[in-house]
Amino acid sequence: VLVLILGDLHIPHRAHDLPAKFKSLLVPGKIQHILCTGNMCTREVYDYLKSLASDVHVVKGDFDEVGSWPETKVIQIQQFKIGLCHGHQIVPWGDTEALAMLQRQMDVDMLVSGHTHKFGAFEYNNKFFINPGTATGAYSAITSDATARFVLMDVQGDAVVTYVYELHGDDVKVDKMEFKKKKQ
Amino acid sequence: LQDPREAGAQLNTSAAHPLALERESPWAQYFERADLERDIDLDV
Repeated sequence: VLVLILGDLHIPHRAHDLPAKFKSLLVPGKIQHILCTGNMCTREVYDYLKSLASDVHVVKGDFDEVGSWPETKVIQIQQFKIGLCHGHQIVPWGDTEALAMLQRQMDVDMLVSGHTHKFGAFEYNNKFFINPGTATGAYSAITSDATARFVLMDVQGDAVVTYVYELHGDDVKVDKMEFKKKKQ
Repeated sequence: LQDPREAGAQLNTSAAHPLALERESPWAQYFERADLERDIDLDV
């Protein structure tokens, strides 16, 4: 199944909309689940995501004023237990050890977090960590890299292939990564 | 239905990713055929 992971859109404060190139790629009928790390910040973004796939999971970011999203959420997709958290609660922000602590607390195979606007996908202690960065390329005070990105995961049983979509000017660059769940 | 993961294995990622819109992309063909199969199922 295909799982879209995105977040930190900051609409309308720091960006007016998702990049048009991304919108043309994201068409209904392909994606089954959407995980949003928050800071969407308007209801319209949620409605847009809902139009792409019916199963949309959102957690609350520090700029989310509408909607009553939870702080963290656990989602089971096939053999993967996925933890979702915006990430402003995890200090130091984006720190591997701090993220691993939350991952153990939530007891998940994969932790998805955002906030830093910095893309990251890595394995740590046999667990998988993903930060999709910002989907609109919104400004952030803690990084100078404001490339618009989102992540698409292809989950097949206990294996997952991660596609990273990056916007460079008018071109979308796609990168691929693989992760397999280890037997305990 | 052909698995787009296998068909795309030899191809460059920027040509064979799940959201590809180009008609020659294995993923685009996969979704097109899946749509067609769904229509046929509905009709039969």
